[in-house]
Amino acid sequence: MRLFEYALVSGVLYGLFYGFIGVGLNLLFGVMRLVNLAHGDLVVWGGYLAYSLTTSAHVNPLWAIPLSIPLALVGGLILYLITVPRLRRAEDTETSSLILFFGVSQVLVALATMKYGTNQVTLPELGNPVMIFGQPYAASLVASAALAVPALALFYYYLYRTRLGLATRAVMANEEEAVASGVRVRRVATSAFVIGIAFAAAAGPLATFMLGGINPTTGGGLTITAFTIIIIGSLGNPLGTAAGGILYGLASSLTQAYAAPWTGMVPYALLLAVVLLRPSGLFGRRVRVA
Amino acid sequence: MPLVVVGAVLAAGPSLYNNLAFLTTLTIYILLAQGVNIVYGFTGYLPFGFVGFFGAGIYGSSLAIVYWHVGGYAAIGLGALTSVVAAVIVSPLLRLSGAYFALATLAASQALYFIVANESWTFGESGMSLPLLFSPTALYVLSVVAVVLTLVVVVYVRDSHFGLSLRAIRSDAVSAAMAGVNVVRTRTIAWLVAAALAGVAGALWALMTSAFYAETPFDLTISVYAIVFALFGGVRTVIGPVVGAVVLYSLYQYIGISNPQYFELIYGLLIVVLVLFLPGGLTSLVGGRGDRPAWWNRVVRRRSAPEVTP
Amino acid sequence: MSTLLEVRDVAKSFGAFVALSGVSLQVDEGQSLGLVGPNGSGKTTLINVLSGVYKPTHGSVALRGRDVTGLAPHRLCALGMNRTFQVPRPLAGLTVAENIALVRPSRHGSADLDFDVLEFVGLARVAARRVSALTSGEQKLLDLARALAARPDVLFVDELGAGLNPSELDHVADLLRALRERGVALVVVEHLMGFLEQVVDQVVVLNAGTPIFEGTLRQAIADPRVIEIFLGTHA
Repeated sequence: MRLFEYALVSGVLYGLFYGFIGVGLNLLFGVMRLVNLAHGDLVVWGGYLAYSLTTSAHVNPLWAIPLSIPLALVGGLILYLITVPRLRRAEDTETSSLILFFGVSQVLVALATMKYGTNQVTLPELGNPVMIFGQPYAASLVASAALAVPALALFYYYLYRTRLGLATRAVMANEEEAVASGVRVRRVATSAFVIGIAFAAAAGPLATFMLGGINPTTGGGLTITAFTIIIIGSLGNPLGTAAGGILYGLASSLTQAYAAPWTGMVPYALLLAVVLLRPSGLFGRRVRVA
Repeated sequence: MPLVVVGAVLAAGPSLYNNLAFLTTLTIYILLAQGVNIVYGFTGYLPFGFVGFFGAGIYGSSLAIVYWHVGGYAAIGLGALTSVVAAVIVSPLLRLSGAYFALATLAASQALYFIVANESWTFGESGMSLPLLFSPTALYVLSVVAVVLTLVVVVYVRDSHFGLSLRAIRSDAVSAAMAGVNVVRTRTIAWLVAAALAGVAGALWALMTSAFYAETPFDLTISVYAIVFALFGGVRTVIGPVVGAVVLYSLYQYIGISNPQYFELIYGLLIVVLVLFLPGGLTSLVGGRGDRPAWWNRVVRRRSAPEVTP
Repeated sequence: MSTLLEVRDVAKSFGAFVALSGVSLQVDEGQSLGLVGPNGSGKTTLINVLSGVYKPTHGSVALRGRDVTGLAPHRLCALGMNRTFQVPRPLAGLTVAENIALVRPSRHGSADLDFDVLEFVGLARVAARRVSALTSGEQKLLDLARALAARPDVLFVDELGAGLNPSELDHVADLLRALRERGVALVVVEHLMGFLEQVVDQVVVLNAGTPIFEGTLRQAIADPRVIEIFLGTHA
């Protein structure tokens, strides 16, 4: 029973973090049908930034979060300007972007390997374990989950309480109609892109805690997991993404507890089940079938 | 004509560069890139998990050798059959489109990996080891034959009514259906043919490698290489994927093995440049004018006489 | 004349939205029927149901007495039903000739369509061009030629006239009249009454997904119910 309880609590903690990873990706895919296969690698680079801060400046790794955001905004804008206008003119934007961002992902992995090597990199523990229902959980785990909550709330606020968010949702629902109603799609697209990338980078230190360390190839798995989550939780629905994250976290930690060798299969099995049985996701009505 | 050239060059391969393992692997990549060409080039579905069919071919042929003691040719046939069966099982994924399809096939291939890696009857823990059924030279000859036969298949797909139907579906499935094309059946046949090619490639790889763990046959890098080789050379052409595989796999052989991160960097940048500036691949630069990227036409037109349009 | 196409009590809804309900009509061999109604009255939805793009939620469609309800477009094409698209959808990336070569003609066809369709619509001179190089008027003609290449007995024509200039419009009206003479039954969706007058015998008026009138075009124009839906209650 204690194993079950432990699996449940850590499932929720991991799930919140995965929801955090998912929202940025959701934004890019929902608004522009861009498949950012470099998303996980951006998260990993956020983690490396935290690692560099702790090893060179000996500060709390969580400082990397506010520091990474402006960097990601600038980097994201540059990447946007180079790639997106041409991609949007491509014959098949979705598939072309998938291939292109895979290339970006390879570049990020290669650069990470050159700078940090292939060994696992870890961050120092934040403090004493936290007791939940009488069982200890690492402070970094709890802190990461706790930080994911305001991040998701902020995302929700942006999407549902700001004018730009309203325009963003309009573009997600129907780009042509949004244009016809005077929405400035380019502005929406640019901000969705850079915000999505900033979310990825900000999740980096948390990922390093949650996964017990990172290496240059960690990003690929994170991207797949994030995609699974946004597909489970339905596109363009931040609450769905959070719920999808928790669902995934629970499935993953229960498998870890009771059938450990199969843990790695969880995202793939979930993804297949959802796209085949309910391609619109569990929390949405939009169907995407050829 | 290109068939003869490719066949002759590959046949002369060993006298040009005496490394049969490299040359055989190259032909295996040509088969995979042609499989991607048929699925992605002609139907527009990006099979990110194409490696799953490669792995299915590897394990289908290997398990047949281990349990049934079949010969080399039968193993190749059974490898192809296993991949086709796998393709039939996952054919419901063809209902999806775009990124959903790409990621779902990826998920299916990795799910297959976990099954193979965790089961004892597939030697997931102990690893597979096979008797040597062909000499390296015989195997290379066999793989060159496979490439030539594959090119015949691709020529047929390009020039036949079947190929025209595939291109029509890729352009507009509803309109193609209205022209009398059975969309589901045509797509599924292309999918099965591509899977069979990957199955043959897998069987050849198994016969060449003879001892391996499940990680290598299901490594996603293989999917990615096949996709990029095909794109680099140019999809929807017969020769493009061959050119792509030869150029890039040679580059990999030259720098990728000693300095993988540099190869990865070049590779990544190449993908970005390709998608942004040369979506039709290398062969589009010498192909019909209509396929060439606009920037190329701008550059070239400055140096040639202005075009006269009726 | 015998009945070619019989539509019985067809309904189509998308979720809670009812696009069509209680649609019954019949088309005789070689007959030319107009389908009119305000925007959103369900004309194109009906064509989509009849051509197999959508499956009806309720009701049946029969061709020469054979039930064809819910068959896929390629099956209907083989049985002798075809259509054009409101926004023409010729296959981009293929040449004009390839667009026609793709089509497998119906073997049921009894209409006299044994001719070069590109010649017929006047696109033979651009046969080698890619679709992307055609004008929008030429794309509409190609869409029509593609449908004819399948040798249909009944052809659904969805706003072929929209967006054409007067001379193109005359050309298209001539083509449709020629098809009628060759025994092709037509179901023509059109807003342009002058155009419709030239090509149809009878019209069905749809409003909010339901037929409200059936008769000649002249009768339709004089009918108070029809006037009301087109001009609104304030007229």
